[in-house]
Amino acid sequence: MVMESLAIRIEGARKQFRETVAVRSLDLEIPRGSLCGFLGPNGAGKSTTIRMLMSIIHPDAGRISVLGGSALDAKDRIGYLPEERGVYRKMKVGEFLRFVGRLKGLGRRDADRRAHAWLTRLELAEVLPKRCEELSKGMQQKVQFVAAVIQSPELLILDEPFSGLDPVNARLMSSVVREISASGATILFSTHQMSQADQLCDRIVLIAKGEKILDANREEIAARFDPRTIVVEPLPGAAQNGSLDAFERALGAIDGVDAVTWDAPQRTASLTLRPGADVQRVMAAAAQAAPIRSIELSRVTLDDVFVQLVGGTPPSDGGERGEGGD
Amino acid sequence: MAVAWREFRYTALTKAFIFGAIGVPILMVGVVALGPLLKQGASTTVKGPVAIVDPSGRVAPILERLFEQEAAESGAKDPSGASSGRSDFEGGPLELTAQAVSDPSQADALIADLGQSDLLAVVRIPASAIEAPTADGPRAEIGLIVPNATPWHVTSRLERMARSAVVEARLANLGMDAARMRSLMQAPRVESQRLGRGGDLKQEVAFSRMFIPAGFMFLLWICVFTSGQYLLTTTIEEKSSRVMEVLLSAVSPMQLLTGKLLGQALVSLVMLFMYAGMAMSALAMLAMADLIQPIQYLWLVLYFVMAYFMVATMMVAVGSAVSDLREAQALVGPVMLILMIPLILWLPISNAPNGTFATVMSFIPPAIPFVMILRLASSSEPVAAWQVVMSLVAGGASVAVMLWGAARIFRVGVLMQGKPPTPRELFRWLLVR
Repeated sequence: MVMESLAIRIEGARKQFRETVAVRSLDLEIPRGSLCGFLGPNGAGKSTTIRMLMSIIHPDAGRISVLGGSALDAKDRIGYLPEERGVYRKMKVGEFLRFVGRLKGLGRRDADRRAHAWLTRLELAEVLPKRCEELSKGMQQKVQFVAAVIQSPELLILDEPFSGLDPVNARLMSSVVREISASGATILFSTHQMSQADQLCDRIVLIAKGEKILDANREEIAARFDPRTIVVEPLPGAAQNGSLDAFERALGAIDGVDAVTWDAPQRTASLTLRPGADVQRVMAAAAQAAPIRSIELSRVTLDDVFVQLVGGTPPSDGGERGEGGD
Repeated sequence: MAVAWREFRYTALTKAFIFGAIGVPILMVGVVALGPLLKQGASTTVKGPVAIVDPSGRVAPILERLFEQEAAESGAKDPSGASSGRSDFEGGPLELTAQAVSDPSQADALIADLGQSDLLAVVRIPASAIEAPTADGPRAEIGLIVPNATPWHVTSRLERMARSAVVEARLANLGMDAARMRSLMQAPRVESQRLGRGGDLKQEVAFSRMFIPAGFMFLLWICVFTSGQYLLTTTIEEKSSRVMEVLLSAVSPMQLLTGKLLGQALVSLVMLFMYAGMAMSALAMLAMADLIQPIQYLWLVLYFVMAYFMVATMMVAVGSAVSDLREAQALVGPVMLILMIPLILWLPISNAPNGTFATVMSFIPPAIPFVMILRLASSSEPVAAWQVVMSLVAGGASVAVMLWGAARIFRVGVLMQGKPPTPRELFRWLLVR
């Protein structure tokens, strides 16, 4: 019964390329229906893990179950957008999508119908009779996305789906990914862009150096990495050079506030709370103690989590490249 | 099947294939058939005087007669060309006039005049040339000087006529009749016939028969290597365009490999039937169809299957391991050397099909199918049955091993990018779990 509720189950998976251990003893469980962000720095082992999930490469040790069995047996039920984009350059878009659809077990007509419907959804219907080589990189990426979803997969694995897309198309793709998720499909979504994972995912898995360092849903992350900080913006003129000290003193005197830090560029003060402090009471006291324009409880971002767990700066957009992926 | 159909569709049903594999042979046949029509009126007559410096005065009259004969035979006197029964290699019409010069001291002035006057050539015949040469004496030399832009066939024909004229003058010098000697020396024509399988007599064309074993081997070679080349390039393209991972997300590497091999096998079969059909039609037109025994068609199909899988597995394995054609050549090169042996040595093998070399090569993959088809298509000596069986067993086992190895290399290679593997790394890929 446990197996049936999981779309992906990885137990102690390990993969080594010569002297490099790409994935070491990875355990992972992705429930059906979740939209899971699979994050990590360059070389963390994301693409290797995904390739193992797809049975493109096999783990040196450990067990992997996808949709209750081997990915090889469930290939028709899995959609996959690889990190390395690729289409047959000389093939027409319609023929390419029909070919992929047939590989995924669709009939010729059904594949054609679905290809047309998906391209229309992605505002790309006019490219159907064109050769793939005639398309821009972004268009090719959308065509590949259609190839990944053409058979309405139960599990959709997207490796860096937004890299190379302009903001308009990235937003369009995001909404499509949400729709697919809402229809009940499980989505595993690898990205470097923390903001997109922040917006899309209900669950986050973070790996580094081939090991899982975080696996939690959004609420658990918020609770675990709660900064316990209140951000206060004073009214104009309330925290000028002469009155800044008085403003800080008034806030620092509130019971439960441990420290006040002034952020000059942002013109905000951050109140660090003592352990056990009542957040709502402190916020109400702050509103009475000083003239303030806004007050809010600081939220944890994936950037913060990434920096805290992995160290350094979170990666910017850009693909991982190289032999054997990451 | 979808992979196999795509391979076939995007190889055989393309303009490049239809033009290259079908159009070019048809074009070649067309050129041969239309050749006589195309050559009509194509040659212009080379016309002019030739100075013959002949102190003996005996050679120039003969050469003058030969010039007239040449003009008649080459069609120079008949602008329609109807009187000319010569091939294009013998050159176009030639109408020369002899200008006899008895004083050898004038030769230099005549040579200096070449290219500035209408003089076509200067032939210098020393007086000693018409003496009968002794067995150990020096060989007489005739001088022929032509302008720089003289067509090669004019020079060649002048050389031939000068030689004949001197020989004729020597015979006349000894009181012999040159025309009589020529007719005596003319070799009789042999009308060869062979007894057909039905007991009927048919015209024997030994020269054409010599090429039948080679025809079988080249047929295999062309069909198998064309598909092999396509397999190599499509695999490299799928790797370099990064479409491989999309394919591997839908099918297993073994399914992909099988689809590719089957698709290109179909391409190869189409070529085999097409070319074999053309060759059989040509043999039937020459009344030589019975030269090929029905069992030889069976050998052709069996060894075609063997040759295809040997070459195809090698090409697909190399294609999966490299990133471009240049890298592929380095890996394919050594194996190609073995495969070139039957191509280079087809004549000795078909002349002595049971020789030690041919027999040994019959069991060395990947040369087995090419050498065996040469031996079995050669009608001079039958090949021992045990050797046929052994070659089929050895070939079948080799195909099985090569398929296994190709699958192993393919599985690892298709996901590799960067520098091509060394032979040691390829061997390691064979052992990867």
